Amino acid sequence: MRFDVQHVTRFRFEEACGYSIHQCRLRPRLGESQRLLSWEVRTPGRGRDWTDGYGNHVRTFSLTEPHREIELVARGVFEWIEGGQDYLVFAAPEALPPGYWLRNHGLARHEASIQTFVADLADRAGDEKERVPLLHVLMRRLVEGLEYRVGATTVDATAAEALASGAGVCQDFAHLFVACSRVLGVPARYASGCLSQKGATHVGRVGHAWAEAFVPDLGWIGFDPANGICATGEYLKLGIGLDYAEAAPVTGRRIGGGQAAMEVDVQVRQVG
Amino acid sequence: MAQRQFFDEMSGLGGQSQTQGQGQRQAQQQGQARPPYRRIAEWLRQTPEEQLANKRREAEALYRRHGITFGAYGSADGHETTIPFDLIPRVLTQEEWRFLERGLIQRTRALNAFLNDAYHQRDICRAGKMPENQILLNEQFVGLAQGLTLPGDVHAHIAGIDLVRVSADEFYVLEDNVRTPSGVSYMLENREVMMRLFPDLFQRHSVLPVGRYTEELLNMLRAVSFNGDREPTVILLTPGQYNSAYFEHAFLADEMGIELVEGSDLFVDDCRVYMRTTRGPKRVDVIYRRVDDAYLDPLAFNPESLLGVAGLVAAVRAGQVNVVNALGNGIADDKSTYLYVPDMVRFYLGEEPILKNVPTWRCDKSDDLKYVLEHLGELVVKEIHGSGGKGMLVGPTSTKAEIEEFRGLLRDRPANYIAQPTLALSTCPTLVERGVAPRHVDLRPFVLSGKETVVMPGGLTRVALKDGSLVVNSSQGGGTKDTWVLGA
Repeated sequence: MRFDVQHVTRFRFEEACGYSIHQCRLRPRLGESQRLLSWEVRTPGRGRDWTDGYGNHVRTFSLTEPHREIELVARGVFEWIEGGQDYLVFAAPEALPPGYWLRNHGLARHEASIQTFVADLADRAGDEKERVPLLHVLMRRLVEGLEYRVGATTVDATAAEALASGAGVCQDFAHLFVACSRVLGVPARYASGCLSQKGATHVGRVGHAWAEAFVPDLGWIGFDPANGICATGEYLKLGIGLDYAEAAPVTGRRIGGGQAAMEVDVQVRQVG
Repeated sequence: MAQRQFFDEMSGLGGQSQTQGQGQRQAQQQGQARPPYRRIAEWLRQTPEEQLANKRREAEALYRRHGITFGAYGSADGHETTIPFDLIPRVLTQEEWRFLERGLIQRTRALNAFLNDAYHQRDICRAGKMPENQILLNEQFVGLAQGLTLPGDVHAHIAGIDLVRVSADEFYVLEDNVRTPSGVSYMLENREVMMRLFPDLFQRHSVLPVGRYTEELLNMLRAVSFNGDREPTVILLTPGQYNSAYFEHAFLADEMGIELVEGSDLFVDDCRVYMRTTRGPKRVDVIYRRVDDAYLDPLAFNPESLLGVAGLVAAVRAGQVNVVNALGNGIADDKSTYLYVPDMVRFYLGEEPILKNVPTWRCDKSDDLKYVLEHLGELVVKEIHGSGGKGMLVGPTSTKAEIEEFRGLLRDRPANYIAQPTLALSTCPTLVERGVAPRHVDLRPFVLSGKETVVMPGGLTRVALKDGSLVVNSSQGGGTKDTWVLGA
């Protein structure tokens, strides 16, 4: 199966902005069953590509002349290879071992309410052979316990806040899944990327987010708690991090420009 | 409790020396000073107290004129005060110093090798010398620094290693400081002031100079540029005038003749760092930063930070600018990592450590915790990520209530604490309200690592001015002394 991706981010400033700097993670990180046929990232200004400590491909670019609009475009075609695994798995050894992804950090931070939420699962967590079923139980619990509702939370909501509010978007589901896994001693991380609308019901308008958990002998497996399924080869991963802030597709800072409007349009179409 | 026996560096009395000869002991009991202090003792005998008091006032005036101040964090009124300076120098022999110097260079080389390893393959963990979680789950570990290869593989360019002495021939490392160690300006100013006040004392002694420090520092900073093809531009990044060490930032920048800047003076373009100047943007190659990791780059760390520069981490990772000290050094100097430093020396250098660690109990181990709880009245308990002498318990000088409070803290969060025996820190003669009296001291030498590793002879001696106090931190009522290493 082939998918055509168009990932467009636009900023419009009310007044001319004298300086802005942007950091984007818009280059795919492919699973075992995926292949990239073409990809390009177009950004204005001057920038360089670098690789962060997690292996994410990052571009940092800046504009130093007055500007009122910025457009970032990532586009290309990727393939989900027939006959490969039907779920997204990353088996290659990474620079940072799984243990790193137990860090209690940022928006995916766990606290008492999250410990309580999964307290009854703690017994099963010790058995590595039980890990996949355990993660599915956890995913179901999120599907049943949290309502998918746009506007229920803000972009800087923590896992515990999402749990307390009882509703959220894909980012919140991912944070909560990551936090719960870590409480249970299962290395987990936040994944940002995209997938076609056809593949799942709850797909963020501005791209998608899910979680990855580490399963010994298998590798990193994607869990999409907003849709209650494991991530498949239709999911294109663009960045990983301990939380959203570390994996965010686009972040930036500017001087001047007044109010800004941000518009993100992510389209993934099956093309074969 | 019986009076503790402290080693006095001038009289040589107290402490448990293993090598002290019979003759020397006799001489000391007859009131003679140890050889390095003979002329100091003579000078103290000959100088009327009134004259010393005048000199002290003169010293205070000099410090105020130079604007040397220190705003203690959390001080009630937030006002800046000058750190008390004690006129009586602390003296080390050439031989003592050679030993310390070798040990300091060895330890710093091992810490640098560790930091480079910790952010690459972590061979030390594979070799079974340290659990990998000690690194990976350390709060101070910076994931963004994984795989970062720096010029010369140096991470701890400036290290302040705190030493204490307990007898004529025993020194211990109390802690390593490899993030943004401060205090070197006091080492330099104390010498300036002493030379101004007592030129005659310097004529009677051969004292190794420390004034080359800023030159060595600038050489080191220039040597660690990524951009070998360019004449490097070096700057000092300060959090600003409200920082407790702002004086030191301004002092060092001035001495080196480099720009002192704040985050808002810098910007990143094309993953390169530029400084705004009246003649347009100037590219920067090396940043001596005195801003903590968390505030260094709002795009990478604390997004609320106004002290840093957006895109700085990208510039480092793209190999366009180097920051000194490196990102994520906190994993090497926290109090739980301290335990492993002797093993780092053995593992990376294949040598036996020259400087000893203080025996340490880790409260996250149940046996250790049990021992610590049973001996709280004798031990010093420290927070693993604490600094500045805060969040610690000195058993022998604490009240029952304070000890009980710590017992609760230890039971709640044992992994947060380590404990050590209360060391019998050496004393040095110090000018106090009523004449001269012994006060406890420590020593922070400064080690610079660039192309090679060098140490200025001496360092900053901190002195606990309160009678009996073992806490020398300036935020806790400590003062400083000029530290002399005698020439041959």
